[in-house]
Amino acid sequence: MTEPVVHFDRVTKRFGDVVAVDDVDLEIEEGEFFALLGGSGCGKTTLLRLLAGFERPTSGRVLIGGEDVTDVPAHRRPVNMMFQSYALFPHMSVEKNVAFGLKQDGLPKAEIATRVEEALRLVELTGLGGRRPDQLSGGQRQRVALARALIKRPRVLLLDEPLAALDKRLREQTQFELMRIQDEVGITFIVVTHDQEEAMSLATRIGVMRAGRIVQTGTPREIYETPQNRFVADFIGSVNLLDGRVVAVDGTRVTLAVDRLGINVIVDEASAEVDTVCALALRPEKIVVSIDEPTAPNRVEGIVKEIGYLGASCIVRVRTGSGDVLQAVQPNRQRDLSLAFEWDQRVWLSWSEASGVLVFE
Amino acid sequence: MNVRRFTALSFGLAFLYLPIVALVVYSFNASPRVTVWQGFSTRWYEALLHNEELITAAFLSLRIAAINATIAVVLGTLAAYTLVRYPRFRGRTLFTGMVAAPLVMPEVITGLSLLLLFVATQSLIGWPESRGVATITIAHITFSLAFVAVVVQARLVSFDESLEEAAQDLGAPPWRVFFLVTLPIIAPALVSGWLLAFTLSLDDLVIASFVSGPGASTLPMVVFSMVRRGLSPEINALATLFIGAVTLGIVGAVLLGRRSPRS
Repeated sequence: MTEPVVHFDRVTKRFGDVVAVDDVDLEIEEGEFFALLGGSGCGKTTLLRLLAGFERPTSGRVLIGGEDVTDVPAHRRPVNMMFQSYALFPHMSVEKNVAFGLKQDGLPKAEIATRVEEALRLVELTGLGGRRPDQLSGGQRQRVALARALIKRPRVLLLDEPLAALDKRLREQTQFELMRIQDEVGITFIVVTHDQEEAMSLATRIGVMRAGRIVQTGTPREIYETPQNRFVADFIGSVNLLDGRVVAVDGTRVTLAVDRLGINVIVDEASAEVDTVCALALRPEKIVVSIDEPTAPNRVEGIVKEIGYLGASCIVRVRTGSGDVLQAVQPNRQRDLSLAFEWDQRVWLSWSEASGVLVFE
Repeated sequence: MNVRRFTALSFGLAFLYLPIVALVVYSFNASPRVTVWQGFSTRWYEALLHNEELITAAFLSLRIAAINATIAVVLGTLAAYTLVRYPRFRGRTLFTGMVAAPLVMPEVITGLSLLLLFVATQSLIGWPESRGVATITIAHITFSLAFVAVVVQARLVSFDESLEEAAQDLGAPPWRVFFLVTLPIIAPALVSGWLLAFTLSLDDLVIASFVSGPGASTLPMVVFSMVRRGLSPEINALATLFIGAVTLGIVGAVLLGRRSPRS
């Protein structure tokens, strides 16, 4: 059993009456690319700052590599942070910025020079060492910040919204860059983000936060396909939530009566007790839209109210007899401009037994 | 350019600068009579160099101005730092108002109240033994401080605190963070505050007159008493030099205040 590189041991942080981090217990293993995901004010940045040493927990302990660092000041912790604003020193050149951490450790000049060069090569900024931060583009500044935080080879690298300040195209490119660099240096990365797509594509594991608590941790796939509660299901991607009551259980095959739609829905690979009130979380891309009545057991009829064309796919919003609107995503497999169905047309929505998941409160 | 606007502008500028231009021009007048032009000469500048009283006063003023500026920068920076970095403490509004009050306080009142204070402390604790350089310097610091605080405050408000955190995160203990990151970044504001305080002190006549004592006459005080004895072109020459020095100071302060490296 190896020691986790980061361990939040029942950490709580209060600012006055506000509980920013509420009894968080979290372990992060060596080499993970961990994403803390949540809306603004959920406490994710505070958690990161607790780890960096900028905040002291109100109660609980913070351990790095098994060592209690709760009372260790920020400048003596073996973690480095990349700030959301990048926080590059405006009065220093790129080289001096990157060398700053090593200089604090009093390393010999020759070694600092080699390692700065190496770090600049890693982030593909060779030759720009003499520039000042205000002479760089946003993407270049982001990479200087990354090089500066990586150069001390910390146990853990903390990234606070690393891609938030970049435009969409650059963001996608930088995502892969970050993954390549993490792979190359082998350091544990913890990234804070409010962008679920970013968290999904970057991280090996995600912790979803809400109101100071971690509500679920898991791989991106687990978080997406088996959300443990309504909040996670709703926060990650879009979802149709069908509220109902369990009427029959046969092993792992659960039958849910969805009164609003007037149908019984069968869910496989679920566990619940009869009479439990819960909801079926169904991702839009798992729903098939057809004109003829399908044979699948889970189906409901409705009228197409909206079709949103997204290029790769279409979002179809269908109103059922009860007035509830379900959302389905259909891939555009053909270039054919006419869809099989149109606005105000009667269609059937269907899905397989294994494509939804039951969520409780 | 629009003719009307041009007229208005030149009238305004003339109103502001004609007296100064006249003074500068007449400082190069060969005639000992201030109002009669008799050709170009620098004789009054030479005469100035041999006027012991003026030279002594000038050096005294420069010394007071330099000491005043230095102490005002230190105190003003502390005040600004507290106001910006500790935004929630009891009495902050009061403190902010009190720091800024000397900016709008009439000099006569500042001077008079300081004089009363010095007289009172003298009879109570025997200090100051006599009024002079020390009391003038203290008086100047009290109002220069306010100007420095305002200049430095503006700089600190736009200061990104994550820069300090970044330095700490990279292994710098707090005192090194201050000297390696905070100080270099706010340095232009400190220099500009220093120049401002220096200039204010050099300019001041009213407050210095109140709190000065025998034997300690600053340059403006000497000039003022000379003028009362009768106009002399020497004063024009001195004033010209003064205008030059003050202009340099102000321009320097403005330029430094404007130069702001952004992250």
